[in-house]
Amino acid sequence: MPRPVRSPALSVEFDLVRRLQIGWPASGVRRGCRPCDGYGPLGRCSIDGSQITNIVALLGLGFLLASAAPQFRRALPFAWEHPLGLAGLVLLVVGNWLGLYYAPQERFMGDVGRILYVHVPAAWLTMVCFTLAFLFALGFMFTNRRGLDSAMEAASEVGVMEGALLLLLGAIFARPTWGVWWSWDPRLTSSAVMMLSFVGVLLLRGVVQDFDRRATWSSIAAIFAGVNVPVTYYSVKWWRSMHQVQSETVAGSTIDDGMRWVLYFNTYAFLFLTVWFLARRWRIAETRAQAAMPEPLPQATT
Amino acid sequence: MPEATEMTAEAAHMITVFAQQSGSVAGGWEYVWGAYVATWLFFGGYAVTLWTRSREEL
Amino acid sequence: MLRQTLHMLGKEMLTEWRQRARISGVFWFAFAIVLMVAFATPNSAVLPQVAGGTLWLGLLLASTRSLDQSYAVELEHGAMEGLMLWPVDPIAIYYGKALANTLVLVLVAFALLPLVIAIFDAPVVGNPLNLIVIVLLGCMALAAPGTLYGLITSQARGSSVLLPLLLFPLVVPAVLAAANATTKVFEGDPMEQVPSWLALLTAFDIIFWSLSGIAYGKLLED
Repeated sequence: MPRPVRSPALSVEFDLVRRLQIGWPASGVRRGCRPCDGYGPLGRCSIDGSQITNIVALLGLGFLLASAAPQFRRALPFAWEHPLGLAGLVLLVVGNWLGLYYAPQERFMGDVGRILYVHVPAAWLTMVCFTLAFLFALGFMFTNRRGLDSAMEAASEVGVMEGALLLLLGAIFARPTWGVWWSWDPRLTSSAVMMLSFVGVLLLRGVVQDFDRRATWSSIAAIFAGVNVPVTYYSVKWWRSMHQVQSETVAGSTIDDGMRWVLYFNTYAFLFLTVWFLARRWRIAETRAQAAMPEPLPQATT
Repeated sequence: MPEATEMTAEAAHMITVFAQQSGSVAGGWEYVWGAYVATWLFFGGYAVTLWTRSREEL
Repeated sequence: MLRQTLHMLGKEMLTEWRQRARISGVFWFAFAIVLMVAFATPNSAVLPQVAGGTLWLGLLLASTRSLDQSYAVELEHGAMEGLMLWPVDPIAIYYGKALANTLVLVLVAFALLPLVIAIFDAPVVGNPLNLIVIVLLGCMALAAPGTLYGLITSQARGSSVLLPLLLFPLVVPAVLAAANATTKVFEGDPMEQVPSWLALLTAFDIIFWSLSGIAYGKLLED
């Protein structure tokens, strides 16, 4: 298959982190009137790759929630996450090759644009993890299920790890393109605040020993952290737009099909790996909780 | 005035530099490699910590 | 429930009055921070521009002291259990405490304001009444989540590190709004931005005062 050449053709605006925050489909130049742009990794006029990502993410979420229920756990004693993790690893290797060699150079950013193939998936997955943490914390407050508390711990920790990666990759991307390692524009500021909030949740969990207290307190902290993220994002955006000191620099300019499907490919890789991380971390949390509070289970689990 | 000539020389230099820029970032492969290596390090390191911690529990 | 809240507030204020030194400790801590910022800024020409931000920075850092201490009183004498055994709605306890903390911060802020204006040479171009409103709303914004987290961290180890770490990311929007609004009042507001910042502060206050009240009941069950 011939390498896609650099194309000055029309394409969708490549502001994918903003897309995450305003929902699909993103604004930009559309081909035709179809809301899904008509292009996806499966070809023309198919379901948009973004919708597939959403579906897969929802499935993952459903899986995690379901596995928090004791009945489901007994029914699924095998480590279902390992095939998924292996698939993610393979996809990541292939995706990295695609990003480094196969994908064309970006028009304005040149080869530096290849960083976006890891930076954007990291951003999406961080948001997914923190949203999951928020949902699990809410679920725990309403149901008091231990599995949900463990799931929240897992989602917070994986989210913090991915968030740290996100900020690092953002800095590495910003240096050659914007000329600075960091700037105080809304997205970066609210990402940093979001990270700090969940680091606080994790530290709180580390400090408190009693299980019930730890679960209640960290759930409340996670709920507050989750609520604060959109508030912070809008307040910082408001600040910037009111100040007009520095116009919001959009990361990247345009992207065409040859790049978009590479991006989705990497996103699936990240997604599968993140689900694997979440599941493994959840199991560790569950084992610890079980060791602290032995329950008379009819059979050994996991 | 010496300041004026200094400023003019600097301005001239800057104009020359800007005129030569092509409007796209050239090179930058070290950043790309840094980003990809960082990704692998983060994921690999976290996977190792997960494995170590699950060993502890057993 | 309003009566219970007012009773709670009265009890808190009485405790405060019996330990007046506590409020002055909070004030001096905030003042020290303000002074340090002034000393650490080599270029004194920029001081008027950072006056608003420094006021709120000092208040923020000092609020952690104040919130810590508001629970230390109860923990010291084992009064926490007594508090929970009262036939009082936990929400009333929360609002009483939060109002008391707000009042402490407001007092400190009003004491700090003339000093900041003097030290940083901040011109007060805008309407001074706006300053009062900003201080009131901003202190409410600091006190609400702080009272909640103070309950958590006062009973946990390492509370001196934990409270700032939990509180600061949460109140970023409020501090942003308050500092910006104060700076606009100091320097003049050609584009009428202060009402928008006040709107953000009000929204923040409404969200967190209601959320924290709901969560407090759960917390006290422990």
